[in-house]
Amino acid sequence: MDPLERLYRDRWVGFRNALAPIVGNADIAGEIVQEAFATALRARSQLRREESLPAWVWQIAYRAALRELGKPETFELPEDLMFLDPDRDCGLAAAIRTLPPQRRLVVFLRYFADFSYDEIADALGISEKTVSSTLTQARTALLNQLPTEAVG
Amino acid sequence: MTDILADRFAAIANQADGRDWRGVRRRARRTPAGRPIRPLLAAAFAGAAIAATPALAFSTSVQHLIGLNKPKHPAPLGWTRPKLIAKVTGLSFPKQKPFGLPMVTVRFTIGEAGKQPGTGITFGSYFLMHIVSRTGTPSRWVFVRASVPRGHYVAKAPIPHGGIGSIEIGGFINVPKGTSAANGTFFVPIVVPVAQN
Repeated sequence: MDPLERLYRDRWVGFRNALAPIVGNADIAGEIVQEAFATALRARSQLRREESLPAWVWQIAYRAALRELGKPETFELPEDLMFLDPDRDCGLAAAIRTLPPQRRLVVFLRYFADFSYDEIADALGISEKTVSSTLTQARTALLNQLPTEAVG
Repeated sequence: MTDILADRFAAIANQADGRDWRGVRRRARRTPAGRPIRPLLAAAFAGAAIAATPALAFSTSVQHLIGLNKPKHPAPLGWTRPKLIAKVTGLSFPKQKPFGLPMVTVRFTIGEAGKQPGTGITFGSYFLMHIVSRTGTPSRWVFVRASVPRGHYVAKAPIPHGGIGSIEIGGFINVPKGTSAANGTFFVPIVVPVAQN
């Protein structure tokens, strides 16, 4: 199976879930991911490093989301970047809200899109060390916010 | 360190699966690169037109809501704002997905009063739509781009608790300033009451 098709089958739901808080709608996020994979399929020859495939497709999807929102590609993440349905885990939703937007995105990429550290680094153009420290700080902050019985 | 957050996130992740690899291949064959994504929403058309004359006003609170609370280009004074009319031309209710919220698809037109939809809407403008429940609870704002300013738009939003009371449609209209384009935006809130059966 082609690696792009495998990535699609394995990670479509994760990509959609990570993108949904940015565009504010899971259906639109799904459409964007669909379009991003189509774009990646067309432009496949432009990918230089095969191991960067997930990050490359994510960047295509993220840029498409910003275009859809009418934002420049330097657009800062909105402060209300949140779960679409916070009622499903109020504690976690409230804890996530305390994180800065960029840190929230790293968390969403890690836990919703199932990105590895190096994939997050590739996708966001930051070092793997920065990803590691960002996630460590985010985890510490989140665990401090969550009720004790929920983290034991 | 055990990653104890993973289970919490896994439990709330939306598992609705919309994968369609054949669809991706079809798109790849026929879609030009860089095309703006258009939400492909339900096509059902229902309901008679409901119109409301807009009350033109600025709204910084809405800009704040969507993260645009630091506009780079203040709206120029003296620009004649068109009197825009929003008409809701159809409501449909897509089948609810597992773990999904109940949604409503709203079709609407925007244009100058007494003229065809699309008049008074400049290239690059965009609109915001949200549903206000009967108790006054609003849903999230949904963006609708007017990159093709035909005047006919479709948006999909979650139905807030309490049912649909009204639909509020606003917009950022690009306005000219001197010889450069799109230097200012206005927010035009248009409240469209909805009689839901």
